[in-house]
Amino acid sequence: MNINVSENNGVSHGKLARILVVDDDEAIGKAMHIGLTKTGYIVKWVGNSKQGMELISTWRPDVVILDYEMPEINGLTFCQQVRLWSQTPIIVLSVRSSDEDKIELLSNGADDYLVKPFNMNELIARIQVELRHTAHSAVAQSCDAIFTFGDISINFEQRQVLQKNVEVHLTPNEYEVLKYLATNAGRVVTHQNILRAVWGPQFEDENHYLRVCIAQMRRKLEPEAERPRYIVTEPGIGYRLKINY
Amino acid sequence: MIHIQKIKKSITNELNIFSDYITNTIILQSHKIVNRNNAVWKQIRDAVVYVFVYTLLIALLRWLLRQILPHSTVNISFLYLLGIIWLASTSRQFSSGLMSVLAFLTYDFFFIKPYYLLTIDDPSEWIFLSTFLMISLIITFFASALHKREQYAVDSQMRTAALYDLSQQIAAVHESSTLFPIVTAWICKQFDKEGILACSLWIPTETGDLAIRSIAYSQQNQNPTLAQFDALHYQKNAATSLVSTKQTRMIEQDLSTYFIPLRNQCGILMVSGTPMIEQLLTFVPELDTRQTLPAKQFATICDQIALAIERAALQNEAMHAATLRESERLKDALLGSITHDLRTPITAIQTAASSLTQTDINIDKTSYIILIEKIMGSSRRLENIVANILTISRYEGKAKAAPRSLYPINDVVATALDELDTSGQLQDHRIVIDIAEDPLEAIMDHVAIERVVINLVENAVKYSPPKSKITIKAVSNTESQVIIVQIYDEGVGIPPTELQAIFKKFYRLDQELPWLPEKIAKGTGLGLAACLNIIQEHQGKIWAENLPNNGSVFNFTLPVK
Repeated sequence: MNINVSENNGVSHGKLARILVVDDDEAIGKAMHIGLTKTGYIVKWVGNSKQGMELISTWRPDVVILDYEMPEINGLTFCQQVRLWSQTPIIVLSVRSSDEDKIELLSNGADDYLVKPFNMNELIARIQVELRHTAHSAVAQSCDAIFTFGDISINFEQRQVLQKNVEVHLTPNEYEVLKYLATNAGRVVTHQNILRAVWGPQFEDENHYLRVCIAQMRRKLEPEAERPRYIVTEPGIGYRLKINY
Repeated sequence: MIHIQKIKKSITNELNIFSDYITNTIILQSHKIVNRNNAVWKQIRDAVVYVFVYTLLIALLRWLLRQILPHSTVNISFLYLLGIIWLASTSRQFSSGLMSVLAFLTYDFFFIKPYYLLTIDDPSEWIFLSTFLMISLIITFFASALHKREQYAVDSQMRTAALYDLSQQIAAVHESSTLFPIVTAWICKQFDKEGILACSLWIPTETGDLAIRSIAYSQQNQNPTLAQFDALHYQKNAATSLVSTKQTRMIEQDLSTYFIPLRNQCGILMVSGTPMIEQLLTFVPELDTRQTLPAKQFATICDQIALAIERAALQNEAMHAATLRESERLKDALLGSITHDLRTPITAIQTAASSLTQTDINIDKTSYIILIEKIMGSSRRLENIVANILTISRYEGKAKAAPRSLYPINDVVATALDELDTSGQLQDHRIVIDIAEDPLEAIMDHVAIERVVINLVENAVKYSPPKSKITIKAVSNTESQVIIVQIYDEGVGIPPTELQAIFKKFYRLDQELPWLPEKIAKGTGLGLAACLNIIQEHQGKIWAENLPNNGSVFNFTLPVK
């Protein structure tokens, strides 16, 4: 099955997707409300965390957009509490937080993050990624035998990577990293997660291994390795396989 | 209950400490008395031995002379006198006096008729003998005075050298916290002989209480329990003498403790020791010839300490004032810059937005897009200014530095260029990346270094004509353990005299840029200053150079280890 992101714009399981925006800033909240509604989602915007949590259980949104700096309950606690009873994807918005904060968020229930000020198109792309992931985990995962992005396609059954129908030779580790990125396509994945999945838990802190590996993959797959288009760096956090190119 | 126990414990402790103090002192003193008695006996013994031996020698000489020249009447009395004077002049006052008298008697006894009796037959011998005694006593007196003066000179020289040494040490220290231990240790070492056992400095804190800033013990004072002496016990006395600016004395058994207020109430010097220390402290305010040398020195050192403390305080104040002035200047400059530079994009946004909200004007699609792009561009400009102000204030405010780690410069460059690309700033230029290795890693706070790359590339874009090339190079220099990042442009270059000034805060080069409609570049004078702050904080270097043909290159280094 080929994945084309623009296909299911705003649609999840054949109905309009519901987006819950939790942000105490009125200007940003309203702007998001307008922007997302125009894109074709059903949007609800609330200005406090408690209401946000209530709506997750009662209104059942498909994606939650959460401001990190909320007055009562901060983003991290919000994610931790929601994860106790819900798997709804959460995208966190933050002004400037340290790498450690972001990593902590990602390992405590947040699915992605976006730094303010952000571009509306970027937010919509992230929402679509989350919607696609939910759709896929709902259906069986095995149907993804072939994954395509840009001019590259990965055949998981044959462990084969093709670029413009020409086979690209990847080392086993490179293939595993690419596969891990592809299964999380569009989402940020942390260094630790990739290292743990590919090299093993004891290599969790060996960032250098991963950097060397990614550099080689970029040389093989990217049209311009110095300005990566597919395997982009998430500064200080990890990598993201960009699929809307 | 616990509280009471604590108090009890502290009282017992204190008693223990003081009983130790006292035993220590008494042992020391009795030791000194024995020493003194020994010295007197030694002098008497020496005098007797010397006179006896010398008399024997003279007797032998006379006997020899008589054997060789039996008929001559040689008077050996002057020879005897000479020897005794020489002995007396080299000895100390007491023993040389004793020697004179002894010699007088011996000479009479052995060499003047009638022999072996203390009587004299010849009246002329009487005159000779009394002259003999007078001369030897006078010589003794002068010699010992000379002795004393010489010793005084040596002592004074040594003390002056020690004082000079201390003042050198004090002058080299700028922090008062390192100054105090030097001073107390010096006092204990220098006045060890005068009976000082412990010395401490009390300095008023900001809240007005006195706090012990340093404490030292003399080498005689080997009892380790003394190190735990209770400050509270002395607190009241110290405070009293600071307020009254008069010495307070506290005597407990054999232990004397003095609280000496330093000049201008800048602190209290506390000395404890045997009652002997009193002679150190009876100094009159003016230096006086009657004072003993150690007392003079002590007075001088008290003044020196006060001066050093005051100097340190003044230095602190001066530094504080300088920081204030600098932040004041920064604020002024910032306000100036804000009115000038922040208003421009704000005005642009407001104008564009108000045009869009005007309902009575029909805006065509192209103008609509242009207006929106104006808003986007201006808000990005604002964001950039805010980011640079934040960087500068973060690094100058010495806020806790972001954690640094080994990070690939390749990723930083790519992220920075993506950032610039999304704001459309690179569309008119050709960007070439030339990084020697991938990954090329250095120790950095990647967010800050990304800001440096953004600012430098932005600068290159701003000062070079459209369609020109901007090259970003990075190589590692294994010799000096750094990586060097270079941003080349083909722009207007920098006037050679301004190559360093451009990194100053709010410094702007109003260079003419022919390809711009307004001909003059816009800038806040913050970008390069922020770069300088960041790179210096990273222990790196940043500098600009002009290229031989045209354009310039901005270089910065980052440590690899």
